[in-house]
Amino acid sequence: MSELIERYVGATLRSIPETQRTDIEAELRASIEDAVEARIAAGESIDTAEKDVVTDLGDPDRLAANYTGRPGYLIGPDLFFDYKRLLTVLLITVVPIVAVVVGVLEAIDGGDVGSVISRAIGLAFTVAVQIGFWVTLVFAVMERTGEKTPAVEWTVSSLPPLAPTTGEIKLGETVASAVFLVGTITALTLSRNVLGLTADDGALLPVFNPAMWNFWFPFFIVVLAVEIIFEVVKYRKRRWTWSLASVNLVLNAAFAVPVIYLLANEQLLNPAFFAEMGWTGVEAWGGVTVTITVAVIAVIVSWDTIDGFRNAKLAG
Amino acid sequence: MFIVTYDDAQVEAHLKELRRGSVLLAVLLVLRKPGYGYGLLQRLEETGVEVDANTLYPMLRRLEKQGLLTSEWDTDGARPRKYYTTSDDGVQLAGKLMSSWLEMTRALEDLNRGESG
Repeated sequence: MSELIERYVGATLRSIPETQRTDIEAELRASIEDAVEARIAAGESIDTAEKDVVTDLGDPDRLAANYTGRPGYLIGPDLFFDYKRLLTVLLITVVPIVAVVVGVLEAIDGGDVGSVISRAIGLAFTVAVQIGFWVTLVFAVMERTGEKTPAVEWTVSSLPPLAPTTGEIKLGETVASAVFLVGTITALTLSRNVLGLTADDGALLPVFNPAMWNFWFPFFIVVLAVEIIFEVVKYRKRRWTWSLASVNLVLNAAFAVPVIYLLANEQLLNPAFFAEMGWTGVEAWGGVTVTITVAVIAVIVSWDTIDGFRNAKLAG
Repeated sequence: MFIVTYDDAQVEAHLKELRRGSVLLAVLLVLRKPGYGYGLLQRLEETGVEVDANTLYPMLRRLEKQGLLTSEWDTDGARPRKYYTTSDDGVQLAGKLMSSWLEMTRALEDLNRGESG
């Protein structure tokens, strides 16, 4: 047998289990030799004949896979959809939670913005990779060992309900938002003269830094008032649009960004108030309160903004 | 005006798909008389059944595993050869597949002529 044929047979047998090897080897050799003989009889040279026969048989790995019946894929069509759904759900829920928790913990630990973001992203990435790897591995094993039927038979009751698919703005939503905004304005206004502690000398120590009233709190009240008007405009328009979603983004940013900035610079809260209460360092950047507040504001605002755009997309 | 061109690869793919199911039936029928690897390939080609060597050889082993073929090594000749024969189960299956095939042929011919079946 020539070297070429030896190499080919060897390459094919390499991925075939011991038990089947001798039988397949004998049969394959005989078939190759027969084919080469036939070509030589038809006038080809030995070398061309061997080359042609082996080329015709093709990639030895594929031939071996055909012999052993191994699937040419990692996860087949039977299991693929369950796999995809599970992976998606896990990634969408676990990764953001991990990112936020790690970010918050890092901030509490005294990290600056850069390290908070890098740690959050770093760990989120690691977690995502781990989830992807293990879920894929489990399904690949299932593909090769067990039952191929999907875990849960699909029935009509598995259909998701008709979600708000039109991006419509309902009256209930608008009223609730308006009430909430009015409430916030009221609370802000009251906070100046009512929400606070009386100090020993009878003066009021408000929760919020009194200096805020020079500019920022009036600014916030204006923004909130504009948001009320915006809610009414949204309702009148009946549906979300891209421009409405953009305005929503701007208004959210106009409120959230300064608040976070002021919290970060320890200007929003009144240190005297907390000193009077006996809590030290509450208003400090890196403290638990501030970090959690910032995280919550960021999450709520992001969610609201994204939701606006999502609805705009649904409304076409 | 639309000019639709099917490239050769697409046509080949469709033809391959069309032939795929028939190879099994052809093998079961032709092996009612014992045959071996390369010789079988030749016999099938002569009668017009196109099949690749790298599909046929593994298929023979698979069918034997499923009990549709039986095999025997013939060590007499110059070269030891594994001869396959269609088993009783294989013959039975071939019968069922054949009737189904003829029905389909009839149906397709009717459709081709433009009549309802």
